[in-house]
Order: sequence, then C-alpha cells, then structure tokens
Amino acid sequence: MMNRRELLRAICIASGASLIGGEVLAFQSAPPATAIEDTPFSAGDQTFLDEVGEAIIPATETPGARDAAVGAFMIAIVSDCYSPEERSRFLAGMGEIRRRARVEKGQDFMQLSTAGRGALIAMLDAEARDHNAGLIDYSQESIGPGRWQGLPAPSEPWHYFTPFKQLTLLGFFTSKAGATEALRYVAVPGRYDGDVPYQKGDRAWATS
Amino acid sequence: MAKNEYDAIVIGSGISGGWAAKELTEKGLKVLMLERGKPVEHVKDYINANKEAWDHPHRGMATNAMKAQNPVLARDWPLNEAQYGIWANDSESPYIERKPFNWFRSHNVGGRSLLWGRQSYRLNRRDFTANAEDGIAIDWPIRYEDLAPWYEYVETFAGIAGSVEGLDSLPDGAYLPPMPLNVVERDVADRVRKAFNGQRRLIPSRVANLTEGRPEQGRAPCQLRNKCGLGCPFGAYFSTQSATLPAAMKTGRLTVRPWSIVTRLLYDRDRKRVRGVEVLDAESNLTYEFSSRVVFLNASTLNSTWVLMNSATEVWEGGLGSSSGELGHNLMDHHFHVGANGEVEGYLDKYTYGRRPCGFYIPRFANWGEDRRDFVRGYGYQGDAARDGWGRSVAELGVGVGLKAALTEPGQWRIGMTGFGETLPDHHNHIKLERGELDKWGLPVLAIDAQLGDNELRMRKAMRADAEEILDRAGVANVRGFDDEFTLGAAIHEMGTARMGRDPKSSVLNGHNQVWDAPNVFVTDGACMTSGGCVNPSLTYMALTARAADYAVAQLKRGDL
Repeated sequence: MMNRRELLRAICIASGASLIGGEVLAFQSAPPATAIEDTPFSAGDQTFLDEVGEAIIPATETPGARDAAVGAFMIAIVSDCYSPEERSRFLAGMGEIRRRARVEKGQDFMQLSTAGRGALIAMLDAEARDHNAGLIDYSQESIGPGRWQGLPAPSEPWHYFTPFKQLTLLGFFTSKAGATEALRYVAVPGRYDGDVPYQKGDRAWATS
Repeated sequence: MAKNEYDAIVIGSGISGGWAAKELTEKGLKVLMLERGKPVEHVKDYINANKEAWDHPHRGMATNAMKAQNPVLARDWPLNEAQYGIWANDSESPYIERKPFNWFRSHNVGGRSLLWGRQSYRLNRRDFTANAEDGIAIDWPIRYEDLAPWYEYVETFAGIAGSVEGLDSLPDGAYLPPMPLNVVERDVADRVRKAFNGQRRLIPSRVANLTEGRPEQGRAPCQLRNKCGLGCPFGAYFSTQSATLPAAMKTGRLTVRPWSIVTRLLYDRDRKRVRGVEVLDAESNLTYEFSSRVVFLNASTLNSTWVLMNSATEVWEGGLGSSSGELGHNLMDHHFHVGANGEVEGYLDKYTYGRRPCGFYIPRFANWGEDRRDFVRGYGYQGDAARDGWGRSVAELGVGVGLKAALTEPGQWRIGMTGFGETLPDHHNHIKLERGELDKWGLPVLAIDAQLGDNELRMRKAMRADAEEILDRAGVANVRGFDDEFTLGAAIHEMGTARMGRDPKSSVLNGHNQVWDAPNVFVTDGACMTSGGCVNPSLTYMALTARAADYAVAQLKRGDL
C-alpha cells in the first residue's frame, strides 16, 4: 500500500517532475531553552543574576547586562549546557555571592545599592583573579562563543565567581542589545574593505 | 516497470553528484539523482541563514541534549544550534570506531556542498607523480595535464575567487577577483616573501564565493556576511542548490528522488555491467529497483565504498571492486589543528569592514625545490589576521564601566594559522562492512580502522615549527605554536578506499574512474583518490567528475558501455 507521500512521489517520478521540497526541514530551529519552572532556578534567582551581571557590565549611554537579560541567559546555559557538576557548583556559587553580601555589607545582595553591589562584585572578581592566577594562562583566556565551550572555568579548580563573569560577558555581547547597541552590527555588509581607518572610541564589530 | 528506467543514475547529491547530474543531463541523458536524506530547497529552506547568536535559544551553543544525541558531532564545531538538523544525527547513523575517527555527514539534498569550507585549490603536477617517485602505494593513472582543462572548466562555472601567483606548488586557475587580504595580512605577506626569498608566500584564500555576480545562474556576489554554512540566500557560494542542480533541472531531464537509500548496485555477471540499483525508501521502508545504462556513484567517500562493498557479493564476497584487494583500504584525510599564532604590533588606526568567509593561504613549500625534510610530502596553511574582539583576555580590567568601555572597542591585531598536511595512502588504514552490526534500516554498518602514521607525526612537528618560524621572521610578537590533538576525519576530507590506478590487481577504478569489474559504474567522489595532496580536495572531485561524465557519454554514444 502506498501512503499519500509515496503516491505523490510516484506521480512525480512518472511525470518526470522532480520532487524537491517536503514536510521535514533539513535546517531546523533548535529546541527552546528549558522553561525556568523546570530548572533549579527561581524568578528571584533570575533577577539576582541580572543584577550580578549589571555589576559586571552596567548600563551607561548604552544598554547593560540587565537590559540584555543575562539572568535568563545564564539560567538557560547552566540548565541546558553545563554538566551536573558544573551546575551544582554554579548554584553553590550563587549562595556564596549572597552569603558574602551579608558578611561584607551586612545586607542581602538585592538590598544593596548599585554602588554596593559594584563594590562587592569587584571584590569577588579580584579574589577570583588571584585564585586563578597560575591556574589559568590569561594569554589563552577566551570567552568567545567559538572557544568558550572548551574553557573549564565552570568547574574546579577555577574560582566559583569566574563562570558568573564569563556568562555575563558572553550573554551580553551575544545579545541583540549588546551586539547592536553597545557594539556595532551590520547584517549585510555587502563588501569587504580590509583597510579602513579606526579612531580610538570607535566601537568594535559584534560579529566576525 | 518502464517508469524506472533512466540513461544514468547518480547516487548522491553533494558536490560531485551535483556535477555528475549537471554534466550528464546537459549532454542529453535522462538522469535520476538519488539522495538518501531530506530534500532542501534553495533559499526557502535556509531557515537559519539570517539568524544571529541572539536568535538561538543558547546563542548557538550545543546543549547537553544535542550532545547526547550526537556524541561524534559534539567533538568539534559541527554541533551547534545554527546548523541544527543539517548534519546527520549520530544516533541514527551508527558506525564503529576501531580507532577514533570523526565521521561528519550530511544526509540531505546538496549533501556537504551546503556546509563545505569552499577553499578551492588545484593539485599540482607532482601530486600526481609523488606516489611513483616515493615508492608509496601506486601511481595515479592520470597526470596534471589530464585534469588541467577540467579544473578550468569547473572553476569557470563554479566561480572561484583567487589571485594568480605563478607558483609551481599551487597551480593557478581561472579566477574571479580574489577576496582581498587585509592591511595587516598584506604587510605580513610582504615580510614573508622577503624573509624567505619568495620560497614561502602568503596569498589570498582561493574560495568558491562569487566576487562578481552570475546573473545567468541566478547568483549574486558574496555579501560578506560569513554565514556560508547556513545556506546562502544570495546563492553566492557554490553548492549543488545554487549552481549544479538548477543547471541540471533546466534541461528537463533530471529527476531527484530524496529519501532514497541505495542498498546495492544490481550486477549482471554475464555482461559484467551494473544494470541498475536497489533503493530502500527511507520514508516507506519499501524497496524499489531503478535501471540505467550508467551509474555515477557519488555518495561521499565512505558511503560510496559502502555501496560497492554491499554489491555483487554473490560474485565477490567483499563486494564490487574487491577483486583488487584494495576496496576499503588506503583511507586518507588531511591532518590539521597544528600551527601558530601571535600578536601584530601597531595598526591600531586600522580596522576592517565586512566579514570575509576566508582569509589567507600559505602554499606548500616543504619538500619543494631545495627544501628537504625527514618526511615526504608537505602542507599548506590557512589563517587570517584580525583585531581581537570582546572575547579577549580581560582579567586585569576587573568589572564595571571600565571593562565595558574596553571591550566595546577592538583590541590589538592577532594573526594565526593552521596547517593542512598530506596523509599517505596506507593499506592498513581501512574500512570494513560489519555484517553482524545493523543500523535501523537493517543495513550493515561500517567499521573504521585508521590512524596517523610516522610520516604524518614527523610532519606535524615541522608544521608547528615552520608556522612559528614564518610568523617570527615576519615580525609577529609573542608567537605561540600549537599542536592540538587531531582525530582522523576531523578535516572532513575523507579520501581513498576505492582508488584509481593502472592495474585492476591493485586498484578499484581505472583512469576514467570506472570500476574495473563494472565499467559502467563511475566513482568520482573522494573515494577515488590515489593520494591526497595537501590541498582541500573538493575542486579535484568536481574536475574528475566532469571529465568522467564527458568520457561516459562519449563511450555510451560509441556503444562501448
């Protein structure tokens, strides 16, 4: 018995017509990220991560990490791309950042002023840099999308804060806001010029 | 079933299959093109071609679920959200690795012509004589001169951007204007030329991206988006869909049948010819037979050999072509992931506009002219220079406004390159049908057993050292060599396993790509390669296919097939 598609094809072949195109696409849209309800993260965590990100990449005359929704980005990557061990460590790292806010500033992280959050995150970043020194060859460090996956920063022995910074930079500069407003983006350049003038302050291209 | 009769059947729709269909239909033959996978309609089905990182759920990165389904693709760049679905799913396409081998496949109309790197170089004269000179494997049955007019023919139609350089080690072709070097690459190129008295050169990549439109083919020039691997809505790079398929369709003599897994060639032992093919319909699971006067086998290197191994087993246990003792043997790739990079000081008042789909090329110089090494053959390098982006080292910048300001500007210039080295044809590097191990279609799977040899391992040391030396002598700072682990197959340049030769006792194919034991079967994809050279091989497959198609039609007209 022929099914409908078989029949259609038989007709096509019999008539010499070519059968191109069909129901199943070759290039597909990737499946969506796991909904936050089905991750270990809460809506409060997402807001918290937005603010951690904002302390790393603040809004200035251009959007910052909060505008780029890096909290949701971090949750998607940690839930869907990290290994279980990396995920546990990230979750523990969130607890540690919150704990340090209370220890160092005497307040919950979310109750701190913008300046207070900035000072705390700067302190943790300095600790991470000291901790990682000697472990990481900074000349090889890269958090670009191409090489990011090979970077072992989410796991031991790298400092627990390092993945928060990595994911903030990655999430911000690959976001639409970061790429098109903080950086420069042209969808269809149309030509190549390998020798254009550059002046300090000109923004970098978002995509290469 | 008179409806199932054709003049020619082309098995596979990738780079070489597309060329076979174009040439055979344009010469008047009624052709059936069989493709094991999905249909892909030009432009319309390139649904990710205009997406950027922010349009993908994980900014393009592979998820754990994708990795679990695709443990082989996950080893390298093909597993990503932008190309989701276009690479063959590992879980549905099993094979056995006797030793690690990355087999990255695409089961779709167009095959890997949609995904290829587009670097398009000719083999040189000595590539065709090297086996004989070195006493390795067997001599090619053809010489550069046999292929040169066909290189020109395919370059002219496909559209290759490149520069004419007059180098013996990398013959010039018929080119469109090159994709230019940038300001740093130009200066480094000058310094390399001076430092090595012209014995080493840095030139623009030669790529199958149009730098001038081809209105007669419905193809626009490259728009410099560097998104080729997603299908080009402008038809600017050569693919089956953009170039050969429309030409073949225009003749009105082509039928394309996707979802058609060729299970075997139907061999007529009295006539010593193949009378057709058996097809398993991947949607209905029904089996069909199609007959033709000639068959072009272009299923991609390992799958073409799989088809041969599964054919005429009633005559030869090892399949059609196995009487040579070489079917499945001499598997090759190019070995890479070895080279150097460094920082280029200055040029901070310079930047680029547009995203090139390529960079520079350093043609072979090792074991060329006066250059002598402790290994045979050679390598070329591919690389580029660019200013660092936001992913650069930033630990010292801390966090906050200063970090953001720094990363929204480009960093210093950096230049890097990786070598592509020749792998020797080695009888021990082979594939085998595992008759006890079946895929979901009930078809036996391949076992792959291949590794780099001593020659390649010695060559890799030189590939790293030479890359460092070239950059050092060009004044590049903080040069760092690298030799990352390489797994065969990773270059996606599978070659050999049904090689061409002069003697049926030591080769599967003759000098016109005909199977010695069934001369109406032509194998013109990478399986036919007698040696690999060090350049990207697709252009050579195009030229060999056009040449073989011309010969096949002439033989048909004479009644010799």
